[in-house]
Amino acid sequence: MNSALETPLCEARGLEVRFAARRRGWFGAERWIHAVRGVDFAIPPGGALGLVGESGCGKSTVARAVVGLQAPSAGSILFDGLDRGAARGERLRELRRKVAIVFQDPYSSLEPRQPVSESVLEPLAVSGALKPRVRRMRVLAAFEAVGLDYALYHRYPHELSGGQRQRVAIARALVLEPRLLVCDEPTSALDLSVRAQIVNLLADLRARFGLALLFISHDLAVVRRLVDEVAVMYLGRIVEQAPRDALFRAPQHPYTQALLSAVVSPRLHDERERIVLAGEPPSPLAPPPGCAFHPRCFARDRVPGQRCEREDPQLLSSGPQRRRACHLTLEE
Amino acid sequence: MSVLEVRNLRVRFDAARGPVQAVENVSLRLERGRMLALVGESGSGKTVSALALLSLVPKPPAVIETGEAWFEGRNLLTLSEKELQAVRGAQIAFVPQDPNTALHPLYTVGEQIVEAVQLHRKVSRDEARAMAAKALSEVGVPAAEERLDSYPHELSGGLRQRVMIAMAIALEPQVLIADEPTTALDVTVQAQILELLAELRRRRNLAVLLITHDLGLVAHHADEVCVMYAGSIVERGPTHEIFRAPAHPYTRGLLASASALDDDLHEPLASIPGLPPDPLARPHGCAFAPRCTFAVEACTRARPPLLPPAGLRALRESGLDLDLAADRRAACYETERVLESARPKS
Repeated sequence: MNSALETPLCEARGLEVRFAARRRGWFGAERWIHAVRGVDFAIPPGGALGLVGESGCGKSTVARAVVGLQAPSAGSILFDGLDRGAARGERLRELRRKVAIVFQDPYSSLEPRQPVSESVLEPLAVSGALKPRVRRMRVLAAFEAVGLDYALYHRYPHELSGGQRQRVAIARALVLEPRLLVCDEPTSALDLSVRAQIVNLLADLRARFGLALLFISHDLAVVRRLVDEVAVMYLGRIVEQAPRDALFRAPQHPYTQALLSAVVSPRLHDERERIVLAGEPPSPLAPPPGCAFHPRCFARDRVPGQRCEREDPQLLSSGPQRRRACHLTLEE
Repeated sequence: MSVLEVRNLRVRFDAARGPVQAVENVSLRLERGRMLALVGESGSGKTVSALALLSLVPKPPAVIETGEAWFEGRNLLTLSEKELQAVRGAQIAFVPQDPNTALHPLYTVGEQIVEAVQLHRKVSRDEARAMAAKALSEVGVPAAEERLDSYPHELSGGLRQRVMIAMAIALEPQVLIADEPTTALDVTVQAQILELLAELRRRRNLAVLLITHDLGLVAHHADEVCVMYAGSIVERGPTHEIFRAPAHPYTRGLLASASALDDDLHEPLASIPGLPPDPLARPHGCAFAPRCTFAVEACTRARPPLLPPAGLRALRESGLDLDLAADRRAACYETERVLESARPKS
């Protein structure tokens, strides 16, 4: 792979997002919630990165920062090497067209009072680039690309099923022909038989249009189907990052190991040994000292000198194209 | 030994756009110490079935057309509201999907469990509080005594669900109905809650009805499965038998479209084409026929009854380890062909 040599399509450098929390009393100290801290990744053109973790780990905040719905508190998001935060005017509009987002719940992401074709058309109208006739053609092409029946053109969101609505949301995202599609839990709100259709559609769009993906999900089996690389987040940070097969075959971080083992297979005879973690993810308002995962970690006793309790591990190279933030010595 | 038996339950909703048959001829049997999973997609009628047997569906618009729900020699569907109240919560307990909306935000956890206990038992506040603390510690809430004074917002999602389970078991029910109890929780927390349910079932010999769409949970925890589609049970039987050789095309499609970590990535994920039918306009024959690759003409004429599937013997002879004595039913005319497709490739 020479993805390290070419300019990435999208890159996060030291991304940090923090929110001000309510003070305790009038004169209390200002408090911050670090939703995302020091996140780095790069997605090559046509590549696909999966971002996994539990609720509150910051994965959706990363998605929002990538599409520009959330300004980074520090660090930057780059497209084709250009800093999104520094772009203005026509250059910013151009950057915006390169990326689109699909949300979890297509019922709340589509305007209920307009026909779905209008929702798909809207990004084109806002960009103002094309003649109305050409816009209509593009809407039809987007319907075609996501497998939506033209008969649904004038329908309203409430008349559609969940799967059809999610197809509309994807068509809307595709209509400006972006190069990166950010998907924030796009299949979680869907029923099983429909979920498979949407997963296959996303795989198909990647193959057909060379679309790059930033795919956010807690469903690891679906992530495995759609991406080349996976980053695991815990409490606002990436704790492990690796090429897909390497991560699923040999997870290096105890949290990744627990996450994978918690996935119950829908097949019989899944005799893997399960790691049931104690407790729950800590509040980002009161992150534990040292490694954020240590209070739940089953392996921390193997690290001498209570280092996990005292020192936050850095995300360091731990193999070919992989990184890991853990004090534990890797077993060969 | 069966503790709860539901027979021929039919529930209709008189909606503004017309009558909707939410549940058609559902029969279930719950046994002590066993877990029965009711599986289906949203709108398949699985939650309505469970709520109807406790008369927890709003009437109107709901109408329970026919059905019996036998529990301790009484038909729950003929009991008065007052008699039912003595059963609900005390003998048959319910754990809802989302603990965040089920708990009252302005009362402490302890007050809410105590209220539930005192509704059913003539005990003093202190005694009720002791029972609440005992239930909380039994479901693995650390420092249970102090937790009683916590408000729901002070607890994490997993702890809130443990509180709901504690409330459900505080009165030592025989039956526990859990409606998607882990859907709102994180994966690592889901595992904890399921361990807990499995343990309670063993320790207290509870009959558990698990309502879910998660086939992973079913494969690992349920003894028996009922698969629902468009208001009807289309297949039921022991989990192991059904997962090994599904006899209904819908079950087969559902199992195939569930992605697993060891999937072969060269194959696209199998999916069931199309959508469930509009409940206002279900097809005359089999409701699954329009999406079914096995459908023949008979399927569109009359709804297939739930019968022991043909073709199990042939499949067993071809080498698949099946228990022919297992009580299995499938509502499909073409079970032989469906089962044939499960034959191990030689």
